[in-house]
Amino acid sequence: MENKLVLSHVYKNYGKVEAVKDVSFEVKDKEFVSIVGPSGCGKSSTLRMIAGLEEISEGDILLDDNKRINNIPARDRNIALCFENYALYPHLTVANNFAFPLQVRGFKKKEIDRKIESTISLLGLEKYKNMYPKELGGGELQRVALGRALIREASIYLLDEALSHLDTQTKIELRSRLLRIHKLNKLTFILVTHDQSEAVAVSDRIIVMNEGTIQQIGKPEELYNDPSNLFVADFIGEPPMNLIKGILIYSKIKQFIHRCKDVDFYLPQKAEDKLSKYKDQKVTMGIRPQYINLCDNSQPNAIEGIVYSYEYLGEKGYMLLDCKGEKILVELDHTDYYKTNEKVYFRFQEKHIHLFEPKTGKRIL
Amino acid sequence: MIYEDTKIKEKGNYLILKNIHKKYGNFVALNCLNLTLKNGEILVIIGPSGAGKTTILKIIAGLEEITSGEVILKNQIINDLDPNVRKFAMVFETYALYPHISVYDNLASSLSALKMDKEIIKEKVESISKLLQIFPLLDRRPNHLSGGQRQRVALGRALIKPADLYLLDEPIAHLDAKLRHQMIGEFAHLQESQKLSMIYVTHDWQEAITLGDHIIVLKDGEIVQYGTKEEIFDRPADSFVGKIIGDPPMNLIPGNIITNSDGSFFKIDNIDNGKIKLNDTLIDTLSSEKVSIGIRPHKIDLTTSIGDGIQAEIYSVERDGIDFLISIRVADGIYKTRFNERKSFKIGEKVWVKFNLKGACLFDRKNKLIKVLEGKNGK
Repeated sequence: MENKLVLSHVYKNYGKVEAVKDVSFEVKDKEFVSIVGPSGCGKSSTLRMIAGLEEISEGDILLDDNKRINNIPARDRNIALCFENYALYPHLTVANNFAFPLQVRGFKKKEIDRKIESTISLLGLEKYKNMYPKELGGGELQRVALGRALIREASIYLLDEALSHLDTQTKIELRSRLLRIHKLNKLTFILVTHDQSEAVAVSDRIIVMNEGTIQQIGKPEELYNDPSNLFVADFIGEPPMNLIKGILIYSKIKQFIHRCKDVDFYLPQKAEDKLSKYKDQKVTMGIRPQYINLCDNSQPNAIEGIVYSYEYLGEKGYMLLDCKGEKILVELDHTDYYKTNEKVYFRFQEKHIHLFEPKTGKRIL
Repeated sequence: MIYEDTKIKEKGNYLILKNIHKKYGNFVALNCLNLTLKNGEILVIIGPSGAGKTTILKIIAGLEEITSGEVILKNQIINDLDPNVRKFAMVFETYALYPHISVYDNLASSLSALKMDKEIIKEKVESISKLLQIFPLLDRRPNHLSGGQRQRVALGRALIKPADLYLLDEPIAHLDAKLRHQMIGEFAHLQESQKLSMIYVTHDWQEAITLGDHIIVLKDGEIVQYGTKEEIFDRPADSFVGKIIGDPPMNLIPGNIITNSDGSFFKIDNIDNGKIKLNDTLIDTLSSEKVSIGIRPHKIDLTTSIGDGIQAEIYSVERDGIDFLISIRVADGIYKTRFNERKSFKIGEKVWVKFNLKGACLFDRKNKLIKVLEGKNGK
């Protein structure tokens, strides 16, 4: 697939503050890419540079056929924008809010009417067509704002926290709608969000940013199962990955052990090559709650835990276990009842055990 | 005044609200509300905004007058008891902290007022602040904290003091998803190990069914259902309860019951080939009745190979963490299904749907539960 947008070694400095540092990525045609990270990670600055609302301090941004757009003003870039504050015209109806940007661009009335009709049906806004923004609720306003971006035929559509402030039901409803529009109309989307679960829900690929730099680019399942560092491991997933601090020990039976507060977690035997140079060093072990299974104590490598609290969620449950002071969260795919202070045994699914260097965050297993 | 109704007394009820009415002018905020709380139990009240949840807490706290009815604590009617002498601890959504003193002093203030030993106060402040992950913030002032941090200080201030009853109004609503999850775990442990008597108000179903020994679902000032977490999840009193619990919520499929010589069927509205065999023995009077079936997302299975199921179209495909949520369109309804592995469905693709009716809920035309299908204890 061809590249729609390329960022090459892009920097953004505000005085001495480096908000975006050496960011490079490409977005393919018809792809849905999210940029996700905590506040202040540089995701919005990156989006604003793509839109042309912010000057690029260093590096290049290329659009369509590798055309450098650094110096093209925002209004001449073929990019549509949708922001979290809806920025609608209060004195115009929904239909006229849609019409206005097209009238400015000199479209014919017939063409405008046709586009309005199709956008209104795309977003299910039939009932609200002749209403004013002040008569609409948050979910409808956000749909109108989206519609105003989508009515344009742009190369790329940028959505800045476009779903973040809606209530859960509305968010889920609009999310499905957005995904359908993306797939059926074959559009290219970049969504900026602080909400990792939203990025995971909709994206083909996700760019994770922290402190101005890219931490990892990958498909949602890659970020889940193959995080490149401690930051990504901790940021992606809800409930988060268990991160257990300890020391890497080579045992008498010639196996690597992650020792944490007198609890020994046995590590996969085939990982020895990767681990040997970290022997006797402090490491952090990571394992997702989904990849821990309860078992009986006769099983090899079974670890004892005390039930600290139990969370029933109908179809599944979560159990927080206390292992000599270390708390470990386990997901259960059944809803048997567990009592606080009950003793249970569990084991980790070997291929999902990760180890990280605590200082650099670098993944070593 | 001593409360005389021995029937209610005998059950060991700690707090009783009896026939509570609350009107604001002509607006009925609470309509004949009855509830009971046992000692050491946590009762969760869940409902949409405007249901009257906070009004109940305010009435118990004595901050709101009752139009009629009785609030009974430990067999004493406390309607007219001054709120200041009720030994209750409260957290409301607006966290009234003292802005000019440190987090430590905010937490310690209620204990100092009880003339508690300084060393014991210090111990208690440290233990509660570690539990709520605000220990590093003890020297700061509330106006230097984020909303989520302030909310935890307010919660700490309520939990630190010994009280007859803890009243909590959305105490962790402003925390981010990760912290909220940790707080739910800590909170469940604290409540269960210390057996605190609590009433906990939330709009979040996960908090409700995780924390509640019993749960009340409230709507428009009336109790829709009172039950254990399992009852609320498995036997919702009506489709409103089914929709408020679960993410994504229960799917509601409209249709009617047909009975012929082959047995009983559920016929989905507005499609030709929309019959599902019902294995339950249904009362004859249900025949041709307008009903709906409530089914949880993981009970719907999809296949692309032509089968005898019902045909549907893929509406959208998205992820839910490492699971997948697939929406399908059947007739004019959109329903959600959940899978824990990737299915290679495309939007617009035709699929066949299998409904696993075990545990599904049959609702009548007024959306009240008729029975749980193929259940052991079907009504």
